[in-house]
Amino acid sequence: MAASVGPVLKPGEVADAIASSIVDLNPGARVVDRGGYLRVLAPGPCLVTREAVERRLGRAVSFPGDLELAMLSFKGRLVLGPERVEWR
Amino acid sequence: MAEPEGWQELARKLDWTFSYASEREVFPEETSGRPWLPQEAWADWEESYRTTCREYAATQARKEAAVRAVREAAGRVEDFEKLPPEWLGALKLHGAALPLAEFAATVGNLRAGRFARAAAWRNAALLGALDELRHTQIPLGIMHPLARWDRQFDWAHRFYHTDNWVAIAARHLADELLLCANPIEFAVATNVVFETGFTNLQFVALSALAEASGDALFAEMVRSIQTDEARHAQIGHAVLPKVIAHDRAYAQYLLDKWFWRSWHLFAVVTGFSMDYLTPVSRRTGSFREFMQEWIVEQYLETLAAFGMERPWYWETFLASLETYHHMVYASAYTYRTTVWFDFVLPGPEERAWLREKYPGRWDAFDAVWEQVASRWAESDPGLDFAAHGTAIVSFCDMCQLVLCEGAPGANAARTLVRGDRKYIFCSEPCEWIFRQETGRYAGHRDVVKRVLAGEAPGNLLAMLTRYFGLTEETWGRDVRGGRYPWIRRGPRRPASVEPVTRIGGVPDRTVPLYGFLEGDTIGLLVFADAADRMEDLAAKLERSAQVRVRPRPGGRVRVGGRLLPGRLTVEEAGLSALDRFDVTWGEA
Repeated sequence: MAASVGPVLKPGEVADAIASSIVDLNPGARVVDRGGYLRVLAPGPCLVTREAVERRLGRAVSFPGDLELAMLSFKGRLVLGPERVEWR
Repeated sequence: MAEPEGWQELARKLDWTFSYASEREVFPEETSGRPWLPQEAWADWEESYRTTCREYAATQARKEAAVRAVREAAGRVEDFEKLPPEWLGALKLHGAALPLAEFAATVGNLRAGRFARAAAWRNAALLGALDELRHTQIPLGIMHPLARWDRQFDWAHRFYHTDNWVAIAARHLADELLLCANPIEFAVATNVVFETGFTNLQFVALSALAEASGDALFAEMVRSIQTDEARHAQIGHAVLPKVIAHDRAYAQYLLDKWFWRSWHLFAVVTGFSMDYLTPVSRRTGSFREFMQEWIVEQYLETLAAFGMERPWYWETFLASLETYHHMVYASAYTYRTTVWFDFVLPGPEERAWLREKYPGRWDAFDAVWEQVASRWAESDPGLDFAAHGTAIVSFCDMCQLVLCEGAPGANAARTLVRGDRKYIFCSEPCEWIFRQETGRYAGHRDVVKRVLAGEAPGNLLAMLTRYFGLTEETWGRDVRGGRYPWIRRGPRRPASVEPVTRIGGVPDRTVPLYGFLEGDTIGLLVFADAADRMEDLAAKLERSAQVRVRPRPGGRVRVGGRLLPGRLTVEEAGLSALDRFDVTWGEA
């Protein structure tokens, strides 16, 4: 079984949208609320798209800028593009 | 101008073709690091987290605005006055240990900006340098106005410029890791081990406890910083595979070495903050539990993804995880005037919590805290020196921290003789690192060696005022002055601070020895007389440690695993300066 991978997010509106999008896009994904941070884990690879986050937020976002504002850390190897992010 | 994606790929890899200087002259191995590879070998260097300067500036401006907003709402002195007093100790510890270390990381990144072997790496490192400057300025900016309210906050800037024992240890690490490392060692040590692993503890995990403690500003500050780290740490993830491909053993060495060195720093800074300086009612997890999440799981999986092994001393590390920060905290509490922040005495509720979180290991520490509490019970509140050590403590010749590895039943310190010098190490991994790069470390003198050379005073009060840079206004105290409702005060015992040796050298017949008392949390320097018998030596060590270990009859001196007769003298036993002895109660 693949190792669980995914981002650790700073709580907030964008983090909620990213976490929810990951749960939508990745079967088996889960969100652990640790108080000061959200740990999102999915059986690798863990994918999120800009479009899914925008749909959740109801406004435009850009990668990597908006992701960087919310992402404190991550588990796995990061593959980052303007339209999608994967943690493998 | 084209959109970033149009020119970024071209610009980030823009490089020179050398004509009048050779590659080796432009990138000497001493400053660029090893393995030294020709330029074409680095052509495929790719960082996964790419950003343009324009995007960088825009994103950083938004981060700054977010921190500023929280600072305006929660950064006044009145806001800090409302925080739990023990938590302020965590802030002062962070404020001293981290901001100027981040500035050293600015220098490390700038060196990579010049001497790293790939153009894209150099560009990414320059943004990393800007990040680290920000990480220096934000905490200094927040803490500067607090210094007028509480002078201990002045140590946020002062700390690294002193010869305080913690500063000596922190500088020993930061100078090597951040200020002087070549770009390859910097990338593996700082970006991979430090920033992918350990800074998460202080900057993310501790933020959860900060929020629970009501400190929204600290939480925002450290999380904002860690969003930068998550980006520029990716530099290391692109460097490490190259090192592995060309010199796997060296890559493993760097990982193992820096894991252990980082562990000791964070065990003190984050371990203290989580398990002692956060009020027990606000704790959402123990230091060990956060270590499990961030290091044992997340960091180890990162190593595995690179195909690398866990450090060879893994079992030693797991044992240290249960005890080391407890050993150092109990020792430092009883030497709190030697540092710049206040300590809290763990009471019955805290100790019950710690017993639950560290099952099987806590009882030995409980006995120490019982003894410290009994010293407070025999004195008036506010008299910190009544529950305080007076002997000189001992330091590791590698990490420069106090000899606190192992457990109260068995201190893990080890000695080594090289030429005409004797060295002592807190642990096997510290000795191992020293042996690998002896030339790098052998010339550094720890506090004990400075005392013996007459450079530093051998008297506690003189040492902390004249050498450590502290004053009565700034030295650490018990945060409640020993006023705990659970302490029942009995008959008073007069407080005293006894000088343990003369200033400026040691008389001829005096033999300075490292003493380790069974049940204690730290090794102490004992000034024996050559004519002292072993029973005198045992009594001297017991007296020196009595703030933590209740004296009891029957202690025997053990040297090199052998019990020595009580009437044997130091001279007859052949003990010489800086030898180790233990005092134990076992027969074997």
